[in-house]
Amino acid sequence: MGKIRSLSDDVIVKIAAGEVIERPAYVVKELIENSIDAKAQNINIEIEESGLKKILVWDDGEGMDKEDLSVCLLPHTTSKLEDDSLIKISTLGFRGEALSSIAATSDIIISSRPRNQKIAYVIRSEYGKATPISPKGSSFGTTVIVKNIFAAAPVRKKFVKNNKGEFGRILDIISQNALSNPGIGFKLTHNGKLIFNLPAKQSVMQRIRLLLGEEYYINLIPLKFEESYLKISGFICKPQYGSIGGKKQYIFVNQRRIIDHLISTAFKEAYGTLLETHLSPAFIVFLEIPFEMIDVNIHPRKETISFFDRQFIFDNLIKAATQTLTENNLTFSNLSWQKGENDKLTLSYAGRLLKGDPFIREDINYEEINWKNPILQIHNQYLICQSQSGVIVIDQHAASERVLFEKFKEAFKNYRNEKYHLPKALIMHLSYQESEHMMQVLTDMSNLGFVIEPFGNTSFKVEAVPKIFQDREIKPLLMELLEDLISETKLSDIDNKTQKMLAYLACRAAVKAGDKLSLNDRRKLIKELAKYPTFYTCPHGRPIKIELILSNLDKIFKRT
Amino acid sequence: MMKQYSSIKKNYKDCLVLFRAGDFYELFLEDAKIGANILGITLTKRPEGKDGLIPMAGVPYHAVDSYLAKLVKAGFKVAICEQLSPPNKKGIIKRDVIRVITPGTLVDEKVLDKKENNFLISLSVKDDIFALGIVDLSTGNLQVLQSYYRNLEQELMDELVKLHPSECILSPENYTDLNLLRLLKKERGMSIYPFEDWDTFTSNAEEFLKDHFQVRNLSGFGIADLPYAKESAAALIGYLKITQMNKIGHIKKISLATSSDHVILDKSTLLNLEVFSTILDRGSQGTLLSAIDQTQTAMGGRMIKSWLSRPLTSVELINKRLDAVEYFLKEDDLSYELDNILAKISDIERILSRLSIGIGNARDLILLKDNLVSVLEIRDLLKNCKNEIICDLLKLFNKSLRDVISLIEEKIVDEPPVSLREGGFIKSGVSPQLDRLRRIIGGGKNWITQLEVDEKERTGISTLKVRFNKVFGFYIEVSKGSANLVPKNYIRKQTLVNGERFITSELKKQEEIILTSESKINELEYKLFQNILTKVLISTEYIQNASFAVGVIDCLNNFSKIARLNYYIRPKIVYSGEIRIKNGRHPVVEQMLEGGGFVGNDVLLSKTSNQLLLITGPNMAGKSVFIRQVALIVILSQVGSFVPADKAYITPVDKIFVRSGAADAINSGMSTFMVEMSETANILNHATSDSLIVMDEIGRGTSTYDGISIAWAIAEHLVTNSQFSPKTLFATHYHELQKLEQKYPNRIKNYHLEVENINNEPIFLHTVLPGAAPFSFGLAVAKLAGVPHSVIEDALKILEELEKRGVAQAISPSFKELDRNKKISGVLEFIQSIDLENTTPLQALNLIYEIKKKVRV
Repeated sequence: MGKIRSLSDDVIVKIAAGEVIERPAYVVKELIENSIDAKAQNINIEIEESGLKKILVWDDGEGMDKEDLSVCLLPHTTSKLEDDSLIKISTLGFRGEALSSIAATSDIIISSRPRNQKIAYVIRSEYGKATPISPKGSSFGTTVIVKNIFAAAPVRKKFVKNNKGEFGRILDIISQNALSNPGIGFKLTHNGKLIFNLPAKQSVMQRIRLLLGEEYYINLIPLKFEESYLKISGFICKPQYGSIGGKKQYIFVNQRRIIDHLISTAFKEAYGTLLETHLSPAFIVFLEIPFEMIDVNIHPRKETISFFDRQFIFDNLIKAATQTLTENNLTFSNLSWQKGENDKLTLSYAGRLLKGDPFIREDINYEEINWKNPILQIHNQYLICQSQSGVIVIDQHAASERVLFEKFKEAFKNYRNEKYHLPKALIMHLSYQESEHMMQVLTDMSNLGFVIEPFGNTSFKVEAVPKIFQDREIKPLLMELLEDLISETKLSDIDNKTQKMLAYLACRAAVKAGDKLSLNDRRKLIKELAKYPTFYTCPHGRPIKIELILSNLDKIFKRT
Repeated sequence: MMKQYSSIKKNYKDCLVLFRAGDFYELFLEDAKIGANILGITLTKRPEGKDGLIPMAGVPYHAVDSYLAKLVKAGFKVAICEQLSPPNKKGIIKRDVIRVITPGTLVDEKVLDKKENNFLISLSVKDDIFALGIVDLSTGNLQVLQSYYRNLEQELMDELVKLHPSECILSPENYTDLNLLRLLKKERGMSIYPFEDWDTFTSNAEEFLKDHFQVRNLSGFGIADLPYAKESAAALIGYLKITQMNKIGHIKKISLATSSDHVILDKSTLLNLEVFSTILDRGSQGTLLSAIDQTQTAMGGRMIKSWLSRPLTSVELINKRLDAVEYFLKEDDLSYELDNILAKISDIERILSRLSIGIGNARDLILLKDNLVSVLEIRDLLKNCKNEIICDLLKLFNKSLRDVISLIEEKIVDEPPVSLREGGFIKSGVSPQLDRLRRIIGGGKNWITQLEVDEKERTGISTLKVRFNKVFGFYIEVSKGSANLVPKNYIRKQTLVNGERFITSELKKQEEIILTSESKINELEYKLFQNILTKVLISTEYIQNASFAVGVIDCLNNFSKIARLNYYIRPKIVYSGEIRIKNGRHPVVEQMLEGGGFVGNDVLLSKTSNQLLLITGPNMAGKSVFIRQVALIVILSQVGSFVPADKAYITPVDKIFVRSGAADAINSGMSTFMVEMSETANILNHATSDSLIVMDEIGRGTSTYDGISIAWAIAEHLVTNSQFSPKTLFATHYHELQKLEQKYPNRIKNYHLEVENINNEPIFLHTVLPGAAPFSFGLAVAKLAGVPHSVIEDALKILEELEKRGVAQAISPSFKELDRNKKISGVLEFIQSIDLENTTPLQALNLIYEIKKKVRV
């Protein structure tokens, strides 16, 4: 019996206008959402040429009977609104626009067989021109084949000329659905090649491992939180697995993926100073919110939604994330808070303190430092000095690294690579592997100011080094540099090969944790550091300094 | 030099001799002409005193492997003649053949297919017995087979099709048998050579083998009472000893390939079921193997082929494999991690063989070590597994493996160079002598840098440098301007644009020390390598066992992967004689469907009441797919894999025969019918009551009357003869045969493919239903296929004529007739519903008008 019906006119008006199929990826999105709504156990997707040539989606869901099939391509028809009220929208697809929009711009064939029908029926529409419905033998489920989309509109095709990008979008969309529906099996091929084959009845973690990678998987921390009508589940990642831009964030509201800056910001705040300022945390969270409290009808492709009570969502997300981080001992400080009479020490309070009024801040005003005051070195690792508004703590190695790196970069840029000629040339006897690497970087080395040449077999003769290394042990420096090059030690944000080498050199040449520094050295280091105030981290991405604000210290010690 | 060449060539007349001269391997005389032709290299000439101009062609030494492969693939044997004395020595360089490479003795990994064996066989044929020796030199696997035969061609080819050997050696006597040669040539891609020394090794095969394998008797190998098997093995070992210069230490045992412990799948069956190659293009896409092979290692890939061609008959062994697969299926995280470790493992067997034969280097040792480390990771991963087969396999991971790993780790650097002759692969601290030599070099080079300092001071030339290059070695370089300031003992060597280069006798002396040390180091490292290699090879058998175990684990894990991805279930192995499958699917076709959703089907075969299933219906409906999927599900079950179905109860079969018109070899010289009949005869001669037979459209290649009669007779024979009653799936397009069910209701059951009739169009539902087909769809299918309308109309008319004349008795009504029958019954109903009592004459007239209208339309 007809599950599909036409919508009344006023409903049509109510639904945001302009369902436009702009790209193949959105076709895939609509079709998959239909399959999920049809309670499919398995969904197979075959794509050719990033969707421009063919998009095939097969599912073993409920299917459409002959009646429904014959009207499904008409505009403003849907099976997914029980009555004309838009309030309770429980399915992914509901607008009634999708299939007709697709049919208008492509050659579409739909065959479907519901469980109570012996055969399948097939309809076809070529760019809006329909052919009569015909019977076919088939198993249960629905197959939709969309061919040569946009063939009739060359303008759009040109717009989507970047194939690679488009397949990436398609992959994204399918992956998202695979992540939020781990019980459904997904199989994807592109141009005949199998991309992935995920069996049904898996767990979210298994899907994360297969789709997002082993590294993402290893860094997962499970998150579960409930407050009033809001249910949050999923995973957040350990802070060392951050990324630039929200690339590794997946937010699902009622199984639908959305992009929401409010939510992204909430998590960023929860992580606080665990992450560099320019990095964003990685997480995948599923929010369950009753339909009454959200409105999905704002964006034509349902990519954003609006919340009835934004503040409530925001606060609770922070709470959830902070709670999880704390439970896993990932707070910035394990300071022991004394429970006082007048303030209830809740986790949100701690969180606020961590991120709120700057108790700890990273941008430091060096001019405030009184140089006559002593500079402490503790544990041969940190330098501590007094600032106008508090106490500055500096990681000596990170600071030295940053300073040297910047210096090397400048020197290199200005070609003022003054050389220091060794009184007696140094012979380095390398292993076969090391000599291979050395041969590869000889030019880069000479650009930096090293004079090195082969000296028989796997030996090398070092005649001169850049002046800055004058007082250093050359042999270990070069060996360590080679080691870094061979193992390709990770640096944050440095792609350029030369810069990489400079960074390695800076690290190896810098003051180490454990080096004892004289008072003069300490002063010198901080003064040098002051020349580069915009940098908060060493080239590896670790923080250099923090400042404890006096007023907050007062608070802790109850001095207000 | 040509004299040296001639004396060597004399001993290798049947080979192309690659003669090492400097940086090249050269071919001379006739060899050169052949080589130039095959390899596409230039044929030049070499003047040789009174010999005149000698044709020659050469390839560079570092690229010899690929050229070698080309020559061998073209069917030639190649003898590698190496320079044996060190390069600097004066006088005639010693040379000798170090290896003979033949198609069957290729071990180069770059050339061999990773998941295929490369078999060399020795064949000996007597009056009623033939014996095969089968070896894959690249893995060290040696098997023998001895069998009586009735039809040599049939039975020999059945064996060969499973092996696809690249080379076959025969005794000189067998080599004169033209019929045998003609038969063997049918196995395309196999080079056939006579082995001149066959009798030398086979005259006392027993002693020879006992001596080679260092055993007291051969009963451990199971071949003590098989004289011809022993001969074949001896011939093979002898051949390998000669061509590999005795370096075949990795062949440690002989195993006997018997037929009794596995299901017999003959050539026809394998091809018709498209197990390893498709009928259309003999490719590997769309085969059973491609559908179920996702093994990660080369060993696993070879093993799964072997398993598929020899499914098990022992219920116990089958269940053991199934238990392991079930275990991996349940533990999916474990299975995933296991898969990741397996992916890291490369071809252990072939690396070991290379090292045994003497063509491995330090990198191979490191590769072996890395693989063994992964192998031990597998052991750790699976150590808590309770499954019996896995526990047995883990026992094969002997602790000596760890010793091998330590040995290599301690002595060889992590990333050694390719060559074994230029040092740089032994770690320091391994040999005091080596370390000392290295120090001397260090000291020497140190002296040279000091020289630079001293000379700079002495001469006052600030631009003075001591440098090195491959041409001059060490030299002193000064700028052009200072060239005249150099002291007298400087000897000018080279003038450049902006400098001059000199040497001194002191400098050269120091260089000499360095060079001598370097050369000593190279020799020493090479010797040390050989020592390490010998120690490693002591554990050859342990490594081979571990490698075998990894292959099996890979296969079992592979089955669990396939089961998980494609929703296979565990088959129940039963003894009732039944093959009962619920909602079975074709493992290959279901993966190749556009989209998805294969329509499954049930089947029930038994020893008596469902012995022969007669399936009728047009081919488009899926008859062939159905009968084949039953056979494939049985094969998969007996291989120990899960199967594509909702439920499966399988009684093990001993043989599977598949006869189908589709695969008839067009170029075999026999007519389709002839081929069909001889294959059918083969089936009838060999089938037992435990066999499974699949016949797809017998009697197609001849006239209808003959065809029906023969098909009928064969079907009848299968159910009435007293000697055997095999389970049979009999697909036919002759509807007449459906009468057989009436004649043998306790043996034969009719099935047909469900077809729905919509608007006079047949819609095939792919479902198999019990009972006879209601009508024939020949013409309807033709229409569907696009045969022109006029032709269909004519056909209908002819059919009517034939039916009228009773020539071709239509047992069941034709499509058209059925349609008419329906119409007629509709009219009859209408007439019956008329109430005569209350009908006026005028109304009656109108009713007649109605009736006429109904009948006309």
